[in-house]
Amino acid sequence: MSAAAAAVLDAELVWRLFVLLKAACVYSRENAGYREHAVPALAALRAVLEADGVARLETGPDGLRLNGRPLSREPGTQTAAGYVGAQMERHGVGAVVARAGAGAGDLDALAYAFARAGRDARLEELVASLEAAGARELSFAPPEAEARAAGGVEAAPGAPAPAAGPAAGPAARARRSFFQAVDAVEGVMAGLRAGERPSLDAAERAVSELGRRVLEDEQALFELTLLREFDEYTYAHSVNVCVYGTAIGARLGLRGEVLEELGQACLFHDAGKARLPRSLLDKPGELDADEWARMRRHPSLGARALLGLRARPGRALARAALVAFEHHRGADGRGYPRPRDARPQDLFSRVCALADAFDALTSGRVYAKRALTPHEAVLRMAQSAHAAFDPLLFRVFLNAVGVFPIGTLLELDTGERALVRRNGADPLHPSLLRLDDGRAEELGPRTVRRALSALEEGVDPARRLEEFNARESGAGLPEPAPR
Amino acid sequence: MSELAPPLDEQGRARAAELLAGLADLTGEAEALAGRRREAAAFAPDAALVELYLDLLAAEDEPAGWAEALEELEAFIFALGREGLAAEAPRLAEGLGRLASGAGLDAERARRLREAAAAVAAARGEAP
Repeated sequence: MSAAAAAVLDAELVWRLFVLLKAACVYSRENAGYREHAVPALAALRAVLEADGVARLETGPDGLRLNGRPLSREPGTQTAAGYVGAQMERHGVGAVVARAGAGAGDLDALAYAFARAGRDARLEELVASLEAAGARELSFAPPEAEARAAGGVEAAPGAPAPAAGPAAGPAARARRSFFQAVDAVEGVMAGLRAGERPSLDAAERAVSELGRRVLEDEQALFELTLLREFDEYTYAHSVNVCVYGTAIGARLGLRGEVLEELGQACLFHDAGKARLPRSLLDKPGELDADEWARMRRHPSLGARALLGLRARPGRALARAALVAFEHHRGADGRGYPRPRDARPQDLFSRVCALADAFDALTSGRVYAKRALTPHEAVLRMAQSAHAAFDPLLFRVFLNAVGVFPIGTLLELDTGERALVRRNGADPLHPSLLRLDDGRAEELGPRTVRRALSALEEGVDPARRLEEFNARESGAGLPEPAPR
Repeated sequence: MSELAPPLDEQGRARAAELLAGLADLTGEAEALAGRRREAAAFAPDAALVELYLDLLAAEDEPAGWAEALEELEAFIFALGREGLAAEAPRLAEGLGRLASGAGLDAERARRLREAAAAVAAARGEAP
């Protein structure tokens, strides 16, 4: 089988597993809502088993691998891999191994072992769950490093040796942290939606890790904020706001607990949306006056939901609740909810407001009928910086994201089109990828003529950057995954 | 920053980009940045929470939501304990008093707010 064909099968299996795990969290195994996903998942598993004899899905420093192969960089596959990988890592599952003959019962056991595991359940509990469900041809293994430390664990018969992936670089670490944070915020929001008091432990760990990654290479995280193919916008948006907010805080010189408190506050700024109906949050098109009135309750709902998590909130939770309440208030107090008095908006709320506005403007979800280009977004924000934002913090934000933020499609003086790959010291001359010859190619400093709309030009910046990074890291250029 | 109105021509776009680049340069802003760091460090959770609970109460129009928000505030006052309450009682009493005398408040809500303010004042008197 060719590498391209294997990549298609791998991507399909990971996508189907992602959907199956999600369905198992919501439905019982007898429910049609689960069964309709179990059938294609089994077909995808059998396709890989037929080709390779075994399916070993393994976590590693450069992300998930299937039978030693890195997965497609296609955003949908990466979303799925990020979720599945984060589930495995959370519970200490280094590998899921399915052997020839694995059937529907094995897949069900796998899905419900994850779905029913407590947030802090470890590998041993998941193994027990698999065994109790009667899994015969499917097993879990600890992470490779732990297995080595314990004297080695035999690989499943027929499993290819894991390929030596590239050393875990900043980009791989950023990716892992990003998806762990998406997973953590999803857990908390699901708990709030269900009226529970969810633990914030996983989210605190994820924010701490994201903070380290921001200090290590903020640009790698900015690139991940371009990914838009998530099943629920609020989760990815929350993490994007956390990334940009933490970057602003880091450039202010905040460190340690204070920076983590800022990250957590940004991550939960939209907690109130967990208390609004999905039909309102996902409504296509514009909201009418009544719907806007309901939507504008989310700051109060969020603050109250967060305050309800502890009888006497500590410093971090107090800051998170305050930011949830104030992030739409505006530096001039003309936003919502209207302030009771002339107290200034809290610093963290001012940081969050910038991060929130930028991500919302570039996603096209809330404030604009179409997504603005990242460059248009910073221009728009500059126009209202004195009223809506703290002007100094806006400059710090601009210092971080650049005049032409990552993912901006540019037309150069030469007429060529190029994508902003990274920003450095010179905000007018970012690092560029030329796109016009079919294959992205790095360019030296160039003069920019204008910023283009990637959407209108038919360019997917996230995918083009991912393809380039995959080629640079030696992972090859996989075929797009079927969806 | 009105000079950054949406640029229509190439020259305007270049000018806007240059202005943004100027804004992104933080040279000479060390003291202003240090001021923001001091602001971050000066955060006082209990004081902020008192203001936030009062804000949440003020933001609630709907009677059931308002009653819940008042209960949440009262629970917070209880959770503050004697020392916390001693520190925050002036802020609480003033805030509750201002809410109680606010325009458009019905008699029942005003009564409940005055009771809460009186309870805070009484508790403050008992605090060491």
